[in-house]
Amino acid sequence: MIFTLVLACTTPESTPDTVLLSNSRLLRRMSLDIRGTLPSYEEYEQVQQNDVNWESIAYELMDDPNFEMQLVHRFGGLWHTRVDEFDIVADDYDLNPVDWWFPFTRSVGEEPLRWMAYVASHELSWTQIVTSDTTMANSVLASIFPIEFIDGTSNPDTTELDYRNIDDWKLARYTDGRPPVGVLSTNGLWWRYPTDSFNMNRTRASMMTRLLLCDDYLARPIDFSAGTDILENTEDAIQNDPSCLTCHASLDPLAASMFGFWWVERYNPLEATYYHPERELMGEQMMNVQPSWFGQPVVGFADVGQHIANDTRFHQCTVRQAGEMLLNRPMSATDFSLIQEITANFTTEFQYKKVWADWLTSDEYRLATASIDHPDTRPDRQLTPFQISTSLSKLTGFSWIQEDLDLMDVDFRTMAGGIDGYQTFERQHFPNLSSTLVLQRLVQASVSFALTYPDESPLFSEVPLNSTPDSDAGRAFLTKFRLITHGKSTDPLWIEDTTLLWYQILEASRGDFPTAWEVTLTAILQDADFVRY
Amino acid sequence: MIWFWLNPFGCQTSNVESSVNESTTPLENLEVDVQSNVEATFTPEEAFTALESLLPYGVPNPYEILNAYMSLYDEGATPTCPGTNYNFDSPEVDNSGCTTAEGYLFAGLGEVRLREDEQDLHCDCRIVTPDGRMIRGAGNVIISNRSNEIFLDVKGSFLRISEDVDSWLNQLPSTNLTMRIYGDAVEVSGGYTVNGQAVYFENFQMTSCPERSGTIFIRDPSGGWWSWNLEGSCTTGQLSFQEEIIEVAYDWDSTALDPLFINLDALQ
Repeated sequence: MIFTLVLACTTPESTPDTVLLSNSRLLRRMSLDIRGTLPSYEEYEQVQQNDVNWESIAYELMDDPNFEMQLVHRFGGLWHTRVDEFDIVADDYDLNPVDWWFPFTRSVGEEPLRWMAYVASHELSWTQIVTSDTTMANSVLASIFPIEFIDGTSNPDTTELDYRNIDDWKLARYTDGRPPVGVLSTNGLWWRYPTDSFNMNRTRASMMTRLLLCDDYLARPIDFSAGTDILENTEDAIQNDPSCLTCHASLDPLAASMFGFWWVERYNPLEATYYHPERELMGEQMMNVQPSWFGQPVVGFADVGQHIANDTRFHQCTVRQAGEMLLNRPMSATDFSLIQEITANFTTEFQYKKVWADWLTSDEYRLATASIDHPDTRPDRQLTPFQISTSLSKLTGFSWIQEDLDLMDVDFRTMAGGIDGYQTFERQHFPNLSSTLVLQRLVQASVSFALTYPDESPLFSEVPLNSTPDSDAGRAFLTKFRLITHGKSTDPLWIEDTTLLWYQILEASRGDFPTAWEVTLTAILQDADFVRY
Repeated sequence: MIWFWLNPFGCQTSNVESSVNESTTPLENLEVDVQSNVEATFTPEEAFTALESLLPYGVPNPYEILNAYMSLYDEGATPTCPGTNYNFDSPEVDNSGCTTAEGYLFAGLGEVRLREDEQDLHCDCRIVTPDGRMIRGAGNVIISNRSNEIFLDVKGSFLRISEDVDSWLNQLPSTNLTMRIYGDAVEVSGGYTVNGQAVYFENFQMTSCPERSGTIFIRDPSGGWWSWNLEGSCTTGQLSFQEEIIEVAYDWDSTALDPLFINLDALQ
């Protein structure tokens, strides 16, 4: 089956085989995918007619400033650089390890992701992620790395830094002679993917092809007929044994081009902070292969960035990864035609937003049930910790902060279904005990905060604390609350169940109306209709 | 001199227009295997000026690193901080370091092996004196003297803070350099970076003129490399950028390098 793009103002209809999301639920899915937050009531109102221009809405949502931060998390899900620990730590730079361990690792880990998110959201050519001399830095990175801000702002001293303020990201560039290869020039990337004197950049080369070309060396078939003396003569085998050459014929020449990032001492900031231009030419000597990009000789890593930018596999991989993010399933052979179609649209101006817009307006994105071609995949998604945190923060004004740290990003990120980049590599697709418990605690705190400080939350200031849910005011509020939080209209059964719950709590709390409302709203925000999208 | 590079985004062979020395071979007669997308920032003259900018600092060598390390160790070390025999082997020293009663900080791991014909230092370490002088390293050095041949190897990044600010060691050099001294000749392999300028030697034989051979690579700010290949000459070699020949006979006096390498063993 070949999917067609919904580029016009038509609204597809459900068939006996498929169920489509309602307009409200589709808007909710788009908003969460693009901004990480729920739509406003007014935004829901704008999609209640039959003919909705979804492409226009997708672009409007992508103009939201939150799109960039959402992409940081999305790309983090692929690149796994948002980890909680690197070999180099804060006190290597005389930063207080107690205050700085987390802000330090976040800053380093987000460095490559921030540049990709910036390129995408600011509508630069996507090829710049691997060809530009520009990257992003905050004040922490500018104070410890050989970096200058593009706007001419002077680099702060480490003694001037505030660990509570690390979101001051700006365009920057390295000043230590590293090649202009975008994310591939960032310390944040290579700290996450270190190498050593035996591996000689092969892990890094493999990571590059997996993430930029969707070509995973570890997924290649292995021929076990390799010679018996392979372990004794590894270097010879790598260059001559057909079993080894399956991977090493192209992997080693690429690894040989990356020696400017090769460290003599892996755990020393003196080596890991700076680029080493004089080692660029060592690769050929140490690996005994001429540096090349899949058979095309290169002189230095700068050439590699240009080759990637021109490689059709890079373009297709960009489209494929975006499809996997937004359709919530791996791509397969049946997706080939659509990927080709979207790639053709993408490569006219290399606008990442165009890729997202095409996937967001595809028929499959709107499915509420599994597609015919992919019956074993679940079309609905589970909110990530970031989406839960940002949605509830916008809704209630509450941020789960303890000792200046966002708990949904520090202690509870993995428990809540997120990735840590070292142990868990894929977001959780279904609720479990720990994610449910984390959600419960966060929702309880959020609702309690919003009712205590209604000025922080316009929606919660409308809660009719002195009315019952079956009053006009109560019913009107529940209708609005249900639409905003679940993207669904109220129906008699839902109203009946919710009202019954409210009265049960009222009785248990000995007639305390505010408690009845607080617990009821807390329950609504733990409903599957809130957690799934 | 007017010369510019035309190599648009793509894989076609670069067109280089160059008004250079009289001896330039017509470029259309040259076959090249590598098409690079990198455009040079330097002119050939600027590339060699960049090389010459490194000369006043001297060349990275293990003697100065080992001497600086052992000197500060002698000055401040105690048996409990950081240990004995030029090693950081006391239980008190770790990555954060230990500080002696006199105020000397020893941090990380430092190991020295002194043998009759070889001296090694592995330094993932830092020594800081009370008055702010420092030797810091992330790498290894080897000095080997066997069969009338001296082998010198410096790998890693090092930094000295001292009164001698004009030495290469005070510029946070990054190195991967090997030198073999035999008789009056020095064979140089590998490279180093000082103050952002990198140079690399490929089998460079520093013999008496005109018996000199090998290649010197000079890094261009674009990330590409100039290479100057000598074959039996001290002054005239083939100049290329990213392996694409620019001039088959480009003149530069390589004896300017001699003071850096010829008397290295006198530093011990």
